[in-house]
Amino acid sequence: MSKRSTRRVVAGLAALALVAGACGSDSATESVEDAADDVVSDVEDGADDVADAAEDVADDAAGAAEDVADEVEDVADDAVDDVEDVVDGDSGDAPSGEATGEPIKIGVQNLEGDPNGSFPEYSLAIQAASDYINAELDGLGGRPIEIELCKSVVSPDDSQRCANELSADGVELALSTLNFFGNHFSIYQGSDIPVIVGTPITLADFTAEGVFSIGAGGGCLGVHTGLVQFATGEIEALEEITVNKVAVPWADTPPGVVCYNDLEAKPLDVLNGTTPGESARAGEKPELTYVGVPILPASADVTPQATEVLDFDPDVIIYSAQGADCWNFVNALGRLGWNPEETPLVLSGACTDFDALAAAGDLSKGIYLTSTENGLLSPLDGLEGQHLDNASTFQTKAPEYGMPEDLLFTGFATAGFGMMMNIWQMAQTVDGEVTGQKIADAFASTDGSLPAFGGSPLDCSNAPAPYVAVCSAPITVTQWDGTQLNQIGGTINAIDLVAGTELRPG
Amino acid sequence: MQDIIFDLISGLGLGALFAMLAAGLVVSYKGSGVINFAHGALAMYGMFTFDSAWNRGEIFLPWVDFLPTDWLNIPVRITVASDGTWEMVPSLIVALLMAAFLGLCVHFLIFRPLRNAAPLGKVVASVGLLLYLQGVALLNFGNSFPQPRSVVPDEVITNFLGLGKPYPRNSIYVVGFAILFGLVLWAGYRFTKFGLATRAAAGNEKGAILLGYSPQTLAAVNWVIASVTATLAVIVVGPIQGTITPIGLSALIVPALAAALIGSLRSIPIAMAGGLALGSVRTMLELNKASWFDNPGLRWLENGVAAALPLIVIIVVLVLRGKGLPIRGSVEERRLPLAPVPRRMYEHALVWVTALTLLAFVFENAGDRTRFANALQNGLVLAIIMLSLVILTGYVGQISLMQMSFAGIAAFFTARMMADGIGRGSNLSPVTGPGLAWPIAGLIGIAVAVLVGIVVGLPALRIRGVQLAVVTIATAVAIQSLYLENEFITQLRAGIPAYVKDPTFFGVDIGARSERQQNENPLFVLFGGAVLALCALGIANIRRTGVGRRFLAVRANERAAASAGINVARTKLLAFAMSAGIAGLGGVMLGFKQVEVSSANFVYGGSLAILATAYLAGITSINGAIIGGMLLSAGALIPTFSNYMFAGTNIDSYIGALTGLGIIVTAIVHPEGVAPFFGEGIRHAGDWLVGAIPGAETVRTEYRGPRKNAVKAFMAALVVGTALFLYNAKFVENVYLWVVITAFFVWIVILIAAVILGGISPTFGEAGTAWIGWGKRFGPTALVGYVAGWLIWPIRVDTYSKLWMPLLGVGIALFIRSIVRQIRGSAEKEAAAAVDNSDDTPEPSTEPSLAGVN
Repeated sequence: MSKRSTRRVVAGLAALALVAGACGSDSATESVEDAADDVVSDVEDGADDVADAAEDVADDAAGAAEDVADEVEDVADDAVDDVEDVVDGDSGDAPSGEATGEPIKIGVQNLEGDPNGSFPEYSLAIQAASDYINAELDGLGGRPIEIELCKSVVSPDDSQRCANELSADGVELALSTLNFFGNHFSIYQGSDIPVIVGTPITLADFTAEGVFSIGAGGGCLGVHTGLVQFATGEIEALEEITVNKVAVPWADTPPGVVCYNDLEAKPLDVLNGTTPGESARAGEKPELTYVGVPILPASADVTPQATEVLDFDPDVIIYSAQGADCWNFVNALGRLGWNPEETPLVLSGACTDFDALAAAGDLSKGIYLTSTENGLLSPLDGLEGQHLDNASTFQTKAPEYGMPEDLLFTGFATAGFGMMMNIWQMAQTVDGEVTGQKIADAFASTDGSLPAFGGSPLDCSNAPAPYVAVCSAPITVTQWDGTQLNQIGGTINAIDLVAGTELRPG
Repeated sequence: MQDIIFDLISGLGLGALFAMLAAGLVVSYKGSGVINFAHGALAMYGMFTFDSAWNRGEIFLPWVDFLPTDWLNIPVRITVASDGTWEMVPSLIVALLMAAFLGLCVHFLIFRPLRNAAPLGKVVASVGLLLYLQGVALLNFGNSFPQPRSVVPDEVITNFLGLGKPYPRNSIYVVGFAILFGLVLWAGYRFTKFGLATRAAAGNEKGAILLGYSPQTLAAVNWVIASVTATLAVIVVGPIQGTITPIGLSALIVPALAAALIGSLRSIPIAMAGGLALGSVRTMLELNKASWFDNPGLRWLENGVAAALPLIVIIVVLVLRGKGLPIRGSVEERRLPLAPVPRRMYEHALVWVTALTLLAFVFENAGDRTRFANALQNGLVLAIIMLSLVILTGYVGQISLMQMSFAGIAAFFTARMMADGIGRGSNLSPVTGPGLAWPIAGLIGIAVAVLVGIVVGLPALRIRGVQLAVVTIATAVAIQSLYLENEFITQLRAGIPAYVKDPTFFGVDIGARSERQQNENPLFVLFGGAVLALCALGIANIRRTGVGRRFLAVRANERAAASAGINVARTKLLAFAMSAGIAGLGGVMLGFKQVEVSSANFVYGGSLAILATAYLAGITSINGAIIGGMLLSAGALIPTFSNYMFAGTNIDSYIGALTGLGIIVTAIVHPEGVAPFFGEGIRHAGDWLVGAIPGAETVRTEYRGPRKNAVKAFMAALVVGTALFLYNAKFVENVYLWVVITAFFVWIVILIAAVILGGISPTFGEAGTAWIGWGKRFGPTALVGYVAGWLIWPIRVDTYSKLWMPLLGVGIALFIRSIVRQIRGSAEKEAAAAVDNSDDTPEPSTEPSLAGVN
C-alpha cells in the first residue's frame, strides 16, 4: 500500500471514529428525552388538571368567604395588612421612607431599539416604580431595588443573549416584559433565577416552570377564553341578540396559533358540543358555528381577511392581537361597510390605544375591549376604592419618578409599573430577608386572596396544567362610548370552558 | 366566477402600492443604474414626515444628534405648529420637499461617488441606506409608528358592480390615482427632453455625454422623482397599508421589484400594470388558497403561495426575457474588491483558534464577564455563515441576499432529522422524524442546503449583478413562507421553533449550554472553532488552486473566462453549492447554539445584514468574515464589549444608523473593508511585540531556522500550556491580575527558551529602546485620545468608568490614526503609480468596460 493510500485509510478510519464518537453516546440526549417525556406526560395530565382546576374555581366561588378566611390564616397577618393598606391607599402601617439596605439586583429584559418592535415605556415604568418603591416604600424589605436593564431586539438569538447576560450579572430575579420567542426561560432556570412575566404572549410564558406570568388577564388563557365567554354569553343580553355565528380572526403567530386553537376554537367546540368538556356550559349552543381567519401581523392589506369575516355573516366578531394590527383590521372592516352596531366586535385589551380609538371615530363607538380589574389607565373621576388608589398612584407617582408624560397612558407603561408594585407587595409578605427566590415563593403561594396592584388578585398556586405559569386569568370587559372606556358587568373567569379537554396546540 | 372577479378587484388597492413603488424603482434604475433596496425606506421617511407634521406639528430632519453634549446639539426637530397639529396641505408639501431633499442627498452623497463602482458596491450601499433610514426613523419618530389617516374619502359601495359585495371607495380612488400617476410619469419620460435624455443615458451613458447631457444631473433629477413619487404613493395608499413601520414598508420592496422586472426595469406602464396584477393575484390567492389547495398533493402550497408569488413572477420573467433584461451601461466600472491569496493560513488558523479557545476558557463561569462566552459562540456561528459569502461574492462576484435562507434550510432539516415525535422546549406540538444522531442529521441538513444552492444558482447562469440580487431576495421570501413557516412541511406553524438536540462527542456534551444552562460551554467554542478553521482552510486552499483562479476569472469577466476554456456555468454552480453548504453548516451550528431555531432567525433582512456586514468587514477576505462575525448582531463580541464597557452611554440606540453609515462609507471609500486595516494592525503589533519583548526575536528567528521543528513543538506546547494554566489559575479572582500573571509566566518561558536557543534577542536594552520609540510614536495620539475620553464621556453619560472610557478614547484615536495613515499611504501609492504610468496610458475604450459587471 502506498504512503498516500495509507494516509487515506488512516484519515478514513479517524473520520469514522469521530462520527462513531459523535453518534455513539447519547446520554445527554437521553436525559433530554426523559425530560421531554415528562413534559408530554405533564401535557397528558393537563386535561385532568384543568378539570380539577375548573372544579376548584367552582368550589372557590361557592365557598369563597370561608376559603378566604382559612387561607388568609396561612399568611402572616401583619404582612397582609400592610399589603392591603397600601393597595387600598391607606397609609396606615405601610412602610415609608428610603430603602438603605443591601441592594437587590433585578434584571429586566425588554424589547428596545429595534424597528421591528420597541417598547421603552415598559422599562421606563419599571424604573419609575422602582425609584418610587426605593424612595417612599422602603424598597423590598429595606433593600433598595437595582434595575439591570438588558435591551433586546426582536430576534431569538438576542432573547437568549439577554438571559445569558442577566444571569451572568447575578440578578436575583428576572423580569421578562414581553418576548416573542420564549427561548430564554431555560437559561434563567439553569441559574435558579425566577422569572416574572409582565405581558405573557408565547406558549412558554404560559407553561414554563419557575415562571410567573402575572400580567393582567394572564395572556391568552384568560383573555381568549374570556372573549369566547363574553361573546357567547353576556353579550346576548347587552346587545339583545342570539349568538350562533362567531367570526374569530386571529393573530397568525407562534403563540397565536396555540391560543386560537386551544383557547378559542376549542371552547367554541365545547359550547356547540362537538368537543366534550366538563364545563357547565358544554353543549349549551348546539347551533353555534364559527370561522377562524388567520391574520399575519403587519400585513400589507387585511381587506381580504375582513371580507372573509363579513362573508360569514357573524353575529359577533372576536379578535385578539397586538396594538396596531387590531386597528388595521377594524379599519378594513369599516371600509367594507361594517359597524359595531350591526355586528358587535370584542377586542382584547392589547388593542387598547386611545389615539386609535379616537381616530376611528364612529367606527369604534360601541366596540368592546377586555380589561382587568383596577385598570390603571382609567380616568380618576368616578373611580373608588382600590381602583381609584391604584390608578391615582400610577398616574401621579410614575411621572414624579421620571416616566415621560407622553408615554404614561400606554398599556405597557401600566404593565411595567404594576409589575414592580406587585413584586413589592409580594416582598411585604416575606418573613426575614427579602430575596429573589423568596419573592418567587410568595408569588407561587398566591391563591387569589390578596389584592393585586392594578389587576385581579393573583392566583399562581391554582394555575391549571399545562398553563402552570399563569397567575391571573380573570378579565373584565369595557365598552368605548366615543370618549372613554366604561366597564360592563363584573369579572369573567372562563377557564372553566376548557376544563376536561385535551390540549389542542395546532 | 363573480367571486374570482371580485377577489381580483379587491387586490387592486394593494396592487396600486406595488405599482407606484415599482415605477419609482424603474425611475431610479434608469437614472443611475441602481436597484434601490432602500426605496421603501425612502418612502417610509417621507410618510413619517407627513404624519408627524400633520398630526404632531413636528418635522424631523433625516439625521440624529450624535454630539456627546447637552449644551451643543445638532438640530433635528423643528416644531411647525405649537398646538400639535398642522394643516394637511403644508404637511404634504413639507413631506414631498423632504423626499426631494433625501433624493438629492442619496444621489450626491452615495450613488454619485459610486457611479463607477461594481454593482455589488451599489447594492451594499443601498442596504446601508436602508439600515441608516430605519435607525434614524426609530430615533426620531419614536416607537409608536403612526396609523395613517386617509387623505382620500373613506366610504363604502355596498354592492360594487352588482357583484353583491361591499367595496371601499378609497380603493377606487387609489387605483385611479396610480393609473394617473403612471401615465404622467410615462408621458414625462416619453415626450419631454428630460425623459429622452434619461433614456439616452440609460442606454449609453457615453453617447449621452457626447450629445451634451450630464448623466449626473439627470441622475440627480431622477433620484428626486423616485423619492418624491414613492412618498406620494405611500401617503395616498397608506391607509390601506395599515400600520406604517420601517420594516413593513421596506418589505414592500420585494413585490415592487418583481413588478419592476415585469417592465424589464425600463417600462413604467408595464411595471405598473405588473404591480396592479401582482396585488390582484396575490389577494385572490390569499382569499382562495384554503379551497384551491385543499388536497393532499397541493396542501403544502396553501401557506406560502401568496408570499412566493413575486419569486414565481421573477422566474417566469427570466425564462421569457432572459438576456433581454438590460444591464445599464456606464462610462467605466471598477473591479470588485481585491481578493488576495491567503498567506500563512495555518498560522492564521492557529492564532484564531488559540485566541478563541483561550477566551472561551477565560470567560466560562467568569461572573458578569460570562456574557463574552455567549458573544464568542455567536461570533463563531456568524463567522461561518459569512465565510459562505467569501466564496460566492468575494471570489465569484455573485450577489446573494439569501445566505440566511440556506442556513435556515439546513438548521430546520437537521432539527427534523433529529425529531422523534416528542414536543420539546417551547414547542409542545410533537414533530415526527427519524430521530437521527446529530452528525448524520447535520450532514443531511447541509446536503439539502447544497441542493437548494445549486437550484438557486441556475438563474445565475442567465443573469448577474443586481438582477441576481433580486432573484435571491425573492427566493429568500419564498423559502420563508413555503418552507420555514409551512406547517404542512415542518409541522411548525407561524414560526414556532424547531428543537435541536445537544451534540455529544464520545459522551461529552459539546453543546453550547453549560450545566447551569448558560451559553458558556468552552467545548462548543472548540467545536465551532474547529469547524470555522476547517472551513477557512478549505476556502484558503480553494483560492490557491485552479478552482480559485477559475472563480476569479469568472468574477472578472465571464466572456473572457469562457473564451479561455472555463466552464462558467459549472464554476458558478460549484460556487453556489459550496457557499450554500457553508452557510448551511453555519445554520446547523446556530441550531446547536440556540437549541431552538425559529424562522425568525432566517428572515431575508438577516441576509441583507450579513451581506452588508461582510462587505464592511472585507468580503474577499477570510479574516474579514471572522471580523464580520464578531461585529454582526447585538450578541456578537464587539457590540457586547461595547455594551458592557460603556453601559449607560446609550450607544446601542445609534447602532442601526451608525452601521448603515459605516457600510455606506466603506462602499465609497474602501471597498476592501476593515480586514486589511485589522491585518496590518496585527502584523505591526506582532512585529513590534517581537522587538519589544526580550527573547522573542530569538524564538522567531529559530522558528524559521534549522531547529524549526523543535521550536514549533515548543510553541505548540506553550499554547497548550498557557491554555491549561489559564484554566487552572482561576483561583486568582481579579481577572486583570490573572491575565498579567499568565502573560508574565509565558514571557519567562520564552526567555528560558531563548537562552537555551543561544541568546536573548532583543536584549533588555534593545527592548527598552523599542518601548521608548513606541511611546514617542503613538504617545501623543494616545494621550489626546485619553484626555478626550476622560473629558467627553462624563458630559454625556451618568455611569462613567474612569478606567475604560479614557482607554476607549485611546483605542479610537489610534484606530483613526491607523485609518488616516492607510488612506494617505494608498493615495500616495496611487499618485505615484499615476505618475509612473502617465507616459504610457492606453486610450480609453469607446465601449463601456465589462470589468466587474458581476
